[in-house]
Amino acid sequence: MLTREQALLLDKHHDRETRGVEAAEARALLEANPDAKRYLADLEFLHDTLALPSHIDREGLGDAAIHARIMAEIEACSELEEATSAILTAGFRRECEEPADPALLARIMAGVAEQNQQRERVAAAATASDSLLDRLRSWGSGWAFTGAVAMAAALLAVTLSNRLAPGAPESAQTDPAKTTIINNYYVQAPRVDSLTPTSGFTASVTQGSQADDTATVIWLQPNGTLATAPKGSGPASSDPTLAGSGASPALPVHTD
Amino acid sequence: MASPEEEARIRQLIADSVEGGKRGNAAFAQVVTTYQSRVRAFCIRMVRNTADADDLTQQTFLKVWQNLATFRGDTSFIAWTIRIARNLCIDLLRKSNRFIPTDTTEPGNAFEHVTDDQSDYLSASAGMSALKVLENKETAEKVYDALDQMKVQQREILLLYHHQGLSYLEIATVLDIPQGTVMSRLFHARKAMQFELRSFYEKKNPTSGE
Repeated sequence: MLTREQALLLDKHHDRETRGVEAAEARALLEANPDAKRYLADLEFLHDTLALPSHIDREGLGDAAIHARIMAEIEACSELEEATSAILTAGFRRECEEPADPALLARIMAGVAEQNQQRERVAAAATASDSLLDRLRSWGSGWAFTGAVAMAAALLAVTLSNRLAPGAPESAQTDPAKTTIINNYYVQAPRVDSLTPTSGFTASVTQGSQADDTATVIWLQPNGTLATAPKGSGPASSDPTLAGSGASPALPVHTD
Repeated sequence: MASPEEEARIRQLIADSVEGGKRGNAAFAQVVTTYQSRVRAFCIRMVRNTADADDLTQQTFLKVWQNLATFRGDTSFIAWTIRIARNLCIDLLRKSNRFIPTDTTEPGNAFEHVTDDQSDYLSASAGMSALKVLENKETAEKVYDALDQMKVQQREILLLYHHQGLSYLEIATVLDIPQGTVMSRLFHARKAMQFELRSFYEKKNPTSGE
């Protein structure tokens, strides 16, 4: 946003009436503030392109008469441009008026249902999380990790909600020595493929429907505290894969 | 722009959707049905790939669903929705480095099956000279080719105005820019389109003097 003083300064600058310090101030403002650039572009458009009188400034845009004049200037284009506009408008209108695709509607509503379930699971998981984290801690202490091996082997990636999801692979949920990666979303066919605790972990999950919704990964550090990886992202059409080195709490997670 | 009655109907559906439950889902399905084609067509024209457009349409409505309770109603619902779709399109184009057009074969020519009724509409809208232009579908193809070749910024402003029929104020909301900038961008986008088409038109109408 620009202050009134800044707008006035730009008005003067546009009219080439700024000198010395004032001109430098205007240049600095244009350099630093994107809104100033846009404002100047508007001025150039109004006065240079449309040749509106100089007393019509940006504030005048709210005036209906001036607005109508600008509209008239814009619309008063050549026949070719009219034709172009008509082509665009009519062609687009036809596209927009096509009947809704039932398959796409079904996809969207399936996603909505999934989100509803997700919300319910997250709410349920919130109440169950304390006991789950306690279990994680007990697993870590039971393994008696030491040094670098402990660092790597202590990697546990867990999602909370999927434990509660019907159909999730039981072995992945309950056998921490084998595989403990569980995906947070994509609950329709959850799958965990592998865990390599010596150098980190890699886990692939089944294809999901939402690019933004990726696993929340939590793992146990050698000191017994829990760390959370940042959310990953990836296109919905890919087969998302979680991967990371595991040596750092800032474990990267990728899903594409 | 939607009529006041239509906007009121949508707002009621939104209110029902926010309530949740089966009734909420059914209401939201009606919202999706109402706007799906508009959103999908916009996405197709933005990313020029129907598969991506389908994914983007789905993502758009899921985000709408997630954030429905935050819709304040200070702009039209379609403008709010298109803003979400537009941002998703831009994200995809950025991720895939597709700011520079590479594929002009999709989504095809919307005038491939222009009906007589639509031709009548076009001629009525544009007058006799426009009718001359529109008599040849090649011109329409050229328009769409030109649109596909335009910068994203110019393409989207033409889409928002002509395609979605949004007002300047709504477009300003979607793009988060002042109304003056909307007018400026639209003006320049049309000029760019006109420039693209001028030589083509002159070739077809050597005596037109254009």
